[in-house]
Amino acid sequence: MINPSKLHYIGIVVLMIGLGFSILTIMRGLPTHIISSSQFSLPGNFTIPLFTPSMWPPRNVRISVHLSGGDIDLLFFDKPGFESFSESGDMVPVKEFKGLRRGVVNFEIPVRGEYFIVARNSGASTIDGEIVLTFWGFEKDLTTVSVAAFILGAVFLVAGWLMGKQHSSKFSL
Amino acid sequence: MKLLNSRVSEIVRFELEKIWSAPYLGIILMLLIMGGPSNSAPIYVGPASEVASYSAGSLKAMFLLFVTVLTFANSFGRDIEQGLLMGELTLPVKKGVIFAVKLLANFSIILLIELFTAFLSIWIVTASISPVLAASIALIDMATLLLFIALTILVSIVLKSRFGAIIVAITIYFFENILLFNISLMMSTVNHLNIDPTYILLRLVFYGEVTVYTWGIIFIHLFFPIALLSFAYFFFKEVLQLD
Repeated sequence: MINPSKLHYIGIVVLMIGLGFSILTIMRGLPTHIISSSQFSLPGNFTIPLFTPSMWPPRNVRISVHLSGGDIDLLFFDKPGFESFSESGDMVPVKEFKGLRRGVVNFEIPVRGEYFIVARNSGASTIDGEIVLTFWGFEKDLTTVSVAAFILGAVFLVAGWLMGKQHSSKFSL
Repeated sequence: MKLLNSRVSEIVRFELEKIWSAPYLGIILMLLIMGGPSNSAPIYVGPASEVASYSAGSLKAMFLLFVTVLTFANSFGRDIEQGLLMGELTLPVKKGVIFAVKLLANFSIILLIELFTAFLSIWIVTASISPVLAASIALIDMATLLLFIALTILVSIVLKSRFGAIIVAITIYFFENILLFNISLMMSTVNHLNIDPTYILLRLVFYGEVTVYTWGIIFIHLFFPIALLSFAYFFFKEVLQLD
């Protein structure tokens, strides 16, 4: 027989863990983080990695493109994909944006991990420009953990309370 | 032997039930989750040991200190103040065993909490799980806290006051921090040298870095607390008289 007070105990602890995760999620999610590629020059029919490897949390990314001289394709690789691209040239990106010149596109990072950006110029002329990434929004995995901990904690608490009530009514009879 | 084991497990159970209530454990976990190095490293490239080193002396370190001091002050000081220790001493177990059980039970729980939060921080910052790294960070954090644990226990049982123990331990923590900060300012006013004890020990373990402060830190945070704990042990065993 499960002890109701133990369920109650676990419920409170898990709820507090959920609260800790929620505050952490807010603390990490409120500030935006900006990375700029700085000014680059991409010759015709050329492909280069744009950003140094970074640990990216699963947030939204706003990609702001400012180019002159033509369009480029942007390819986002995860670590295995980038390793495969570097070794054999196989292009299996997580996300691909074609024909970018000016404007903003949005991208949602699927899971926490290292990501790499590769710029491809399929045209003949050299393209100059800059790409700015803005990370915004709450991290999805931390949000999920917070909500899951809240639900789990509440379930344990309610189960403990119900079992305790049942237990005490049995004794009062 | 079996009887002794059952008595010891009874003391452990009593100690855990008495100190680690659900709201207490919950609040500690909450504070350590939100105060860890992960809260200030949104995007990071590099090994997690770097994150751990550079976040030494952060908000989490202070939370962990308060939690540790409060736990040991409650375990020893409150038990003496409220006469609970008298009850424990009536058990047919040596006084020294009671001291060791109280120390190790609480130390293990704090170590487990610290291990959990170290795992979590490493995962958030690097998206990978490294048990060896997490264990090293947790053990170094606890080793740094050994001085304050020893002070809290000693003052608790000598003065028979948990508030006295808390005030002494926290005062020495801040005094040490102010002293170290002034030393680093004296060394250079431009590039502040980080001589936080946790940072020095982490650099020693992860990178084998030995500075002029390393042996001093090891002496003050490891050897000196062991001497204090030994003194507290003998005081508890031989001198402590309860009314």
